[in-house]
Amino acid sequence: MDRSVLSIIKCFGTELYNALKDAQDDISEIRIRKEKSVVVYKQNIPYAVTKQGLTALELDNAKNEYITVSEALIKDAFAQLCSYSVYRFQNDINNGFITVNGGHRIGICGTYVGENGIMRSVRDITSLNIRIAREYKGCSRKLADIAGCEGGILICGVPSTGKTTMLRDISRLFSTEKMLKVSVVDERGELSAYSHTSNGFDLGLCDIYCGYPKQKAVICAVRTMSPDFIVCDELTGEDIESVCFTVNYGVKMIASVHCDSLENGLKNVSLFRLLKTGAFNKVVFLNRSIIGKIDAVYNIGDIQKLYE
Amino acid sequence: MNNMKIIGAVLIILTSWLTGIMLSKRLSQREELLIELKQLLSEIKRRITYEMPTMCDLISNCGTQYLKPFTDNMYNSLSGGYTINESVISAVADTPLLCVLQDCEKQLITDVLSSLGAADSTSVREITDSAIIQLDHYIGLAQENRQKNSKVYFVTSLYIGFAAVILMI
Repeated sequence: MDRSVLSIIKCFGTELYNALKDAQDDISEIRIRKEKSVVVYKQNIPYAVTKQGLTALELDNAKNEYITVSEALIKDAFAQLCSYSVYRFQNDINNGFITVNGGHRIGICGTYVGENGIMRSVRDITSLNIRIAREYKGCSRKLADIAGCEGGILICGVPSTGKTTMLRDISRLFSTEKMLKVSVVDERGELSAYSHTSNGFDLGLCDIYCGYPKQKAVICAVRTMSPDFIVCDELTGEDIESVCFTVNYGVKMIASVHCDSLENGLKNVSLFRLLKTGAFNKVVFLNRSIIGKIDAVYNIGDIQKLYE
Repeated sequence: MNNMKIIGAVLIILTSWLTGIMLSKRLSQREELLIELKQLLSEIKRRITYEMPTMCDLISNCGTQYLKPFTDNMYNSLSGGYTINESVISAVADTPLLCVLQDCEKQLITDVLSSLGAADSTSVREITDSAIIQLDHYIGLAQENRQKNSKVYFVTSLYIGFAAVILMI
């Protein structure tokens, strides 16, 4: 397993570390819940963790073999994962996650702490979901061949289908092999995983805006970096304005969005509005069971005929 | 024999006088140290506000300007995998430079640096501002103490030296 993942697991005690250190490098998620068994996901199948390694998850845990993590350990581990610098991660914590070294995103569940209607922090953390980020060089080659680089590409899929991995690879491909100017808007630090202690993932010759809000980064990129493409992860309805901005300046966009099928996508108002901006020539749907597999590629013209 | 007595007397007076000088120097060292700690906290507040570095980087960068032995000890503990609380406590205990501080002053430093790591950016400013106010108060007390007692130690030690010599003679 990757060293950055092992250093995350080490924060949760030597028992869990010893159980997982020799596990194969195909784990996609590790879910840690207060006083409950640690559950690991491989290809969307859950496994419990015992001292001997992974085993099929049974809800009753009759033999008491499964490794559990106490509330105190979760609290200590969380402080350690934040490098004892919670202020640095405050915005991300308020959005329900932190991104740690290696680009791995850790989702947080706990008790909301607010003041005058504004969220201040999260306390009494009860669940953490460690989503393991990976780099698969070449995984977007087929997508790049099908979609081309004449227009924008919108990658759609449910969570954990490899959208971010695809974006990472296509950024690298376009900036190196096709020698295009690519600006990457890495709002959550997952695409590049850049930190002052490591260079993170290989995005080729991209210009990376790390931690910037999308709108700000898009404006800065368009005005100063003269990009051919802007790459963004997880567009929502709030990003319509940013997308329109790029269209107005003639910059193409490659982005991802949560959507399970074209049929449901067309019922989604936000996605509908995104498609209408004209920023995307191709819409790609990823397979929900096989990570990274392309299910379908649609031309925007065909989709427009459908919703008309 | 008389020469030996004279040498002995001079040594006694010198030792006593040097002890007095050291004690009065400790008073000014305490004051200087508290001022440097205040500067360290101001620098920490500024860096967190504008750069949001990790605690490790913060201590390492601030340490090049202020209280290097203390920040080095803390940095080494943090890098070695100790928690922030453990790192601060061990740094305070293991830095000889800080022995001139009073217990309440050491406790203030420990409390501030331990709680910074768990605070959001607004609380960081509140914590450091409040600690700086408290340090100002301690600096005032240290200055007063130095002004009052520095000369006293200096003079008293000389008298004690002479008194010891006279008693011996």
